[in-house]
Amino acid sequence: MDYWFTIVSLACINSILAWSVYSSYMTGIVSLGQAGFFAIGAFTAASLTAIYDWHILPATLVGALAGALVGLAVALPLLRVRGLHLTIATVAFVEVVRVVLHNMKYGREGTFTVADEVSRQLPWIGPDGPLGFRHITYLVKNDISPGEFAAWLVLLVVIFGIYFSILERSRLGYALRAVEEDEIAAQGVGLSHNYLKVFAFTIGAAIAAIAGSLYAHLLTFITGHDFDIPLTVMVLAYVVIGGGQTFWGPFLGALIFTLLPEIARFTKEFRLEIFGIAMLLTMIYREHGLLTKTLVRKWEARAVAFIQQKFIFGRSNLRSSDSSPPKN
Amino acid sequence: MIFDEYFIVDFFQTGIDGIMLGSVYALMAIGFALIWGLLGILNLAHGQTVAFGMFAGMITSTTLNLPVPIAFACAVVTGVLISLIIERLCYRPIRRAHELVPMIATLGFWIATEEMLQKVYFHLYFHDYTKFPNPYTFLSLDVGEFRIRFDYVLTTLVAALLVGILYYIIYKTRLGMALRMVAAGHDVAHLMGVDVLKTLRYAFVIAGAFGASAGYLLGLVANMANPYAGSVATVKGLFTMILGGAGSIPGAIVGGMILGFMELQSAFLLSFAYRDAIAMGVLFLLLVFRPHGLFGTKVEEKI
Repeated sequence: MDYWFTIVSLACINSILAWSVYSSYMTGIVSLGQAGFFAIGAFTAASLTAIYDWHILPATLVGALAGALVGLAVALPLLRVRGLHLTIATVAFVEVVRVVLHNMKYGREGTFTVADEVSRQLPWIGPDGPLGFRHITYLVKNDISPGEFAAWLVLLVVIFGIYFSILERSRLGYALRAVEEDEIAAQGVGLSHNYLKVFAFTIGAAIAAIAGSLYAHLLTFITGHDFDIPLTVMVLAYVVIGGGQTFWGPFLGALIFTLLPEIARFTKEFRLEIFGIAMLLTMIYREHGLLTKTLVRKWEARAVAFIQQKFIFGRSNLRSSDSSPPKN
Repeated sequence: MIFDEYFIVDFFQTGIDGIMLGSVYALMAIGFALIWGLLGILNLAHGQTVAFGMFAGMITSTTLNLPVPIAFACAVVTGVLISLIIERLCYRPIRRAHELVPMIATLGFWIATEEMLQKVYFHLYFHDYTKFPNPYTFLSLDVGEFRIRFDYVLTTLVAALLVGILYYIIYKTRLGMALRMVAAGHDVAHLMGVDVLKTLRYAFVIAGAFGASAGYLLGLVANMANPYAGSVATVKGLFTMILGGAGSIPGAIVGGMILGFMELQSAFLLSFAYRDAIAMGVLFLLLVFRPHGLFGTKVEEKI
């Protein structure tokens, strides 16, 4: 059962990551830099809980803040770059972060554990160069079971879902979409596209950093190589395959690509081949992704109608009888 | 300490090696630059032509004991075939879609073929990294105090020859005229009587040939065929192209030289561990200060 809780946690983390891409995707920025922010969040929060014994919540928030600050520092110079050039610049950022984390060493010596008695070496708490950051034992120390952690993550996913559904219906959301549609026209109606893009990118970086913190605590062991280019491309693929027009698309993409290999166990060996071919076929047959805006709006309308009929008794009947014109 | 009496010699030796290694990067980047310049898409699967070219060269020269030129030709044919498959699957059906759509499709192709190549490599055919046969391993030229590896010289010469052929095609033949026309605009070219789809197919053929020859030469220099060569080639080729200016062929050539030089020099002068970070950091800064690369032309804004 714990195994499935871990899978659910991973699915939640992946969908949060997919949403972090989606945040800047709304303004037309295709970011491949998410793995960098993911790594920054993971290393910051894990350092705070493992080395300095913080609680996970403030640690995650500080991680998110670090991600947002780095995101801001990256976003401001990137305003000069456009389109796929911008995408490549974000890839360069990921490489820099990965190599720096791969060579970084700080932290403190831990205490003896049973496992270490063979080697008679004190465990190193903190990033240890290419060996990675081991002994992130927050969840074990505080007796948080995988099920409990998964429940918290599901709650977090619901919160982010609500955030994005409100954002999409707000003036800000429409402004972001306007920038995606046409920057110059958006400027013409008085929207600062620079401000909006930096905002969206920074929020995306913070969300990715939150996901990173949770990932580090779930896995208890991270290295710089966990945050490389394939990961960042995969996260973008969640968004593009799921559909980048509504926030349901990235969620669906992340769910499919986390859960499918687990459910279809017999495909395990050829998982990546199937993944690649599925990506190719999706792009050929549904170029806007699996969930398009019209599809989502149709289902939303259907769901609303269903709820009205089922739970708000007679209200739709009442209204139709009220508003229907009197027959002569 | 590196600043000893041999420092100058080492510095120039590293520089020469870097520039020669860079000629392979330039070959990879030309494939990317052609597709970007003509279609405006990132062909992420282009690295697979490099990997398949490398493997075709390795397999033909180990199992059949073919001499280098024939193995090279086999590699090029394989690369061209892969490139044509990419065109048929990832570009043709979705050429009217948003630029991201073919990019993700080529990404899917990349992941699928890389995994397949790796499985074939480890399960069916080989059990370990196999030596790429290199008849020139111990040959070298001594020029003054510098020692220049013969396979590097060969690589540079082949790259120069291929670039010469490419320039001949582009500026002296009807196909080249059609290619330049298509680069200016698909619709205009269509109106002027150019068969756009056919021209683009030729562009993919050329890109595949360049990718595969880069793969063969890389295998020769490194003495090893690596199933992950496709990923490395995609990353390096892409960065080279962006460094020089997207879609620009002289940019790709100069960018390749710069990347090769910079990689070896930063490993020599600064730190081996941070080699990739330095190259990528320079690229990031370059993109910020010259968003269209060294040789790129500025795209007109609408206002």
